Amino acid sequence: MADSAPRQNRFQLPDLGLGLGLRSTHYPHILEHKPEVGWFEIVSENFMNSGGRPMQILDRIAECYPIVMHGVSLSIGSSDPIDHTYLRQLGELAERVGAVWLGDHVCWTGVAGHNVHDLLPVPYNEASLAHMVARVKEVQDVLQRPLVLENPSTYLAFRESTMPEEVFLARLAEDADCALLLDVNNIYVSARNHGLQALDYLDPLPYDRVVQIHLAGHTDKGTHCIDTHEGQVVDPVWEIYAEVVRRAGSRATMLEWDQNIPGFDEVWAEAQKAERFRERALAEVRARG
Amino acid sequence: MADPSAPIEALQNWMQAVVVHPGGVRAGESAARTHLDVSLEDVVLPTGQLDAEGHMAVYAEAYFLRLIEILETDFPALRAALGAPAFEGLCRAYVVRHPSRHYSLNVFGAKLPEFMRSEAEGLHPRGFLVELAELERVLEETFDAEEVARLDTDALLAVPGDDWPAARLVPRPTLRLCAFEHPIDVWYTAFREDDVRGFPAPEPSWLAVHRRDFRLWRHRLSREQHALLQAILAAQPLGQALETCAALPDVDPAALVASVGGWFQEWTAEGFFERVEL
Repeated sequence: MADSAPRQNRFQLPDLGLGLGLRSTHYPHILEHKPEVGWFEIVSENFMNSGGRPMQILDRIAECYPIVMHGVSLSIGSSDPIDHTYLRQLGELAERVGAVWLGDHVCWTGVAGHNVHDLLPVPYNEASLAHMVARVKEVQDVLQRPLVLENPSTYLAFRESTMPEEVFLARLAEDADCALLLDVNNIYVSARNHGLQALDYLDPLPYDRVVQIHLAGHTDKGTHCIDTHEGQVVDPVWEIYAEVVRRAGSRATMLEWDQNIPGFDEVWAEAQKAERFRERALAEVRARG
Repeated sequence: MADPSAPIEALQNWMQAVVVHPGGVRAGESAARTHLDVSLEDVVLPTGQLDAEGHMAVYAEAYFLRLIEILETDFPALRAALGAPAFEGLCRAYVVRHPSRHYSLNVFGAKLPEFMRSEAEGLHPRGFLVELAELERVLEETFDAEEVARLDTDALLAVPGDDWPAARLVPRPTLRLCAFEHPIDVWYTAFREDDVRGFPAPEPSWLAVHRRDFRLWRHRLSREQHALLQAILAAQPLGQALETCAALPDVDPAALVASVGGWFQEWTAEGFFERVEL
């Protein structure tokens, strides 16, 4: 229930306020104007294998802003062994930019040595859960910090699943003792794709483990929605965001915009809409006592 | 029917084989039976909007689109030279033959020039197109190369004359050399200026691609300059590198010796070298 919800996360990770995904098209604006953004999230892999200009710019931005690392190739659900070279490079980047936390997705990205560069779903059942819990623990042992795992957008559901994704996510977080990133657009997209009620997703989640929230736009294809990170956040997603804030309290929130990216001011203005929803939700919680 | 306790590894190999199959998910379903003898309907739940095939197709279509988009970004000049349909066909064949095996998409296109040289069908003029792809790949590698300090011109000039033959110039990781059978940089420059007019006739050309102050530069070289720099990149001492260069056909050793001092000063100012080892 909202009025008994924890106000802080159990990892004592800070509420960084409003942030943005760091995108190369905005580098000149950020470096020149130093906008009052609370923090930036980077896609880890974009900087892990490059010693050129992007890394130099990231070093400069990291001097001025908190940086959160968000990966797409940890492949925590894969049956391939954990790639320890990747983990070492991930840890080195985290140290270099002083990452406040780092995370990835509840998914797998390839098997047999391949990387399909997509966030592929797992069946939500006991076997997958045990497999993933063991791997999250292994990664956290290496990195010596909690992993922040995000609910993916999914486009298929397995007959083998025996529990809803949100229950799987909650149990994974509890059993592996990891943190969660709630992507509220993904909750909406997956609910649309599987004919579910998005707000039902929120009931089993352990909000003391939620440290970050993602906002984004998506593309509605009629028969299904795709998490394209394009365009404005739609009203139903704002409603989910507000409900998460009611239950979790204020959490570090950021906007992803990855296709047809407009100028920095337009993207930042979209992110700042979150303040209104957040303040209203927090006021409602306070009013209830 | 699906085995409800299908091992994770088998299920993932099955799904990956379906998603990456160039013939679509039904063709992939047939091919994937070597991993798990199931149908799409056995594994995937339908919804009111999409059947099992439709749900899986979302992943399959995204797979090829994503990787082709990466190659479009990395090889814009090649795409312009081939035309969009032929380029997409080439990319699809490449994605099938060389699927990504690295977390970084920066390296995904690394094998495209060799694939074009030895395996891709229907490329004409193949030699020019391969070399154009090689240049674009070199640009990508140079963009991502590790940043290190630059040799200062004063440090170069401070090397005693007697030490020069045994000295080694250590190139920066941001320096790459190219030797082409076509005037690739002329064509590439025209592409950048939106002034391309057909494919060029063969004509040898040499190029240094390097990064200075985090910007990429293309520096046209003579045959002799390329040979000298190539010897330096092969870690030859300067004396030996000059002998290698002087051994080229039709090279006047006296003219070479008269020129190299200026070359080294120019290349050092350009940031080709990290340091000099005595």
